[in-house]
Amino acid sequence: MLTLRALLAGWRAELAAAAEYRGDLVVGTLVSAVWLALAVIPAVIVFTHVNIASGWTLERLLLVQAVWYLMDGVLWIVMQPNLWALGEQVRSGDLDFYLLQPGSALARTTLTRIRPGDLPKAAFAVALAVFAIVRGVDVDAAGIAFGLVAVGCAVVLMWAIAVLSHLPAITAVQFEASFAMHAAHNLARIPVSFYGRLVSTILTFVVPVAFLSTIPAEIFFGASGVRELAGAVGVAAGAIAVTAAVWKRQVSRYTGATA
Amino acid sequence: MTAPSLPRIYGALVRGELIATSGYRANLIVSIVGWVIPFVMLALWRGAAEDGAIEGVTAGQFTSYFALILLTTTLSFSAHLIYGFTPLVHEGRLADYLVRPYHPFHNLIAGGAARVAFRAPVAAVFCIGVITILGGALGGWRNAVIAIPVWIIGALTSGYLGALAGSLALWVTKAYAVQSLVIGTEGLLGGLYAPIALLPGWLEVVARHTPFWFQIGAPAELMAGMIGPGDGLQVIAEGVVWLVVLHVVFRTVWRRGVTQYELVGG
Repeated sequence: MLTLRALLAGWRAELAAAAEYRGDLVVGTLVSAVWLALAVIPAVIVFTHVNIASGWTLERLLLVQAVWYLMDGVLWIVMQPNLWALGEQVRSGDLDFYLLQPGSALARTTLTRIRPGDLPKAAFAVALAVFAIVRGVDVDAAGIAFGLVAVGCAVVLMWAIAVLSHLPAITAVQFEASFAMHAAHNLARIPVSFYGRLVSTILTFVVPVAFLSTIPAEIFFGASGVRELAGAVGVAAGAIAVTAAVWKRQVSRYTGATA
Repeated sequence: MTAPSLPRIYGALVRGELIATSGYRANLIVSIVGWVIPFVMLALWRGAAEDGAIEGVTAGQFTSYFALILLTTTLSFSAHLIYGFTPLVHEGRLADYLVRPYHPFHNLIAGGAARVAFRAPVAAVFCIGVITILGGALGGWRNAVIAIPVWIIGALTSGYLGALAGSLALWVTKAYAVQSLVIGTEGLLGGLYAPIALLPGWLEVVARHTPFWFQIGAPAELMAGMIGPGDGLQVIAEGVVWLVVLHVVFRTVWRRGVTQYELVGG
């Protein structure tokens, strides 16, 4: 609770500071709109030539991309500002500051900062989802409720992947594995079934990319159900446990730069 | 004492950058695994083409095209120029480079070349592997021969565009927003998301005559046999014209931009 209160206070302060630079919000909105357009253009171009691709309609594919774009928002709004700073915090010793504070050091280190200029990404993702549903994706109340839970799990999973890919920076100077984060994130741009049976299986059960966008979107329109939702919750819980364990191990090897 | 010639300068700069970059070679080589967008597009377009060719482009050609896009985008370092130059301006470090007897962008180009030297062999292995395993279709040897000068001219024009986008930082404090749009446009008009022949009519015409395509999509289309050697020669001719135009534009922009530069910091 203490950590949550501290995070919320920090986010409020970031928003208040951002309000001083309204021009940035305008620029952020324009850039987010352009990037959303660039994200959906490949799918739109594909469907100017075909009606169905690998069993998917354009509307359902757009719903997947809406969930994917929300994950993009999570990366840019929350993860990048915190994790880009991690390596520098290690080198300068500022990480000590977070480790000595009460509450969860993992949450404080990875969630303290936000980049308000990218908040429009989240709004555009929701708008795209609504557009896809209105255009022709059949959803019911249960599907929406379960789908929202699955999206919440996807956000947790995205956080875990981002954190895990940056934690090597605590013990290895100048090393980070953000390429793994970008790979997982970008592979989730399209439904995993497009990758063929073998890769699709790997992206579901080995590296759970499917839980970032495909399965949450499928739960919305009923192609996946309670079993997949339980899987999403399990994957999210497992991701938190693994991230916490790796964080603990990395911090135990951290020597501090200010000693 | 005379100033050293450009080849000597480049020799020294690239050697230095190779040594510096080799310190992070493992990270650099492994990081290529993170560049999956060509594979994502490959999966998307192959999925769309499973019932037959799209506008004459077969699944095999899509395979070769996007595998080669992995290679051409890895060889590109316009983003390196953009994101390398901007902090030099914003942090005041450009002053150090301005007093050297060569243009500041030569340093960045050498740095980009060193990164490419480590990443390109890995990308080439991936490219050949994908084409072999997934049964990609390739054009003839003439296409392959013409693809090389097309790519060189494309790389030069793309370099000028990157330098121009980076130079925006001389006027604009928050240049990253505009620069990211240049990168996005490069992807769309360059053919990263789709072969440009499949873009809607007017967009295809625009893309076919922009320098973005010359470096990324054109060599890949040639190698995959989606366009013929004659089209390649036309790209070379257009590319040379673009090169001259961009050179003149860049010289003008740089001359004016550098007068805007104000040293930041102590």
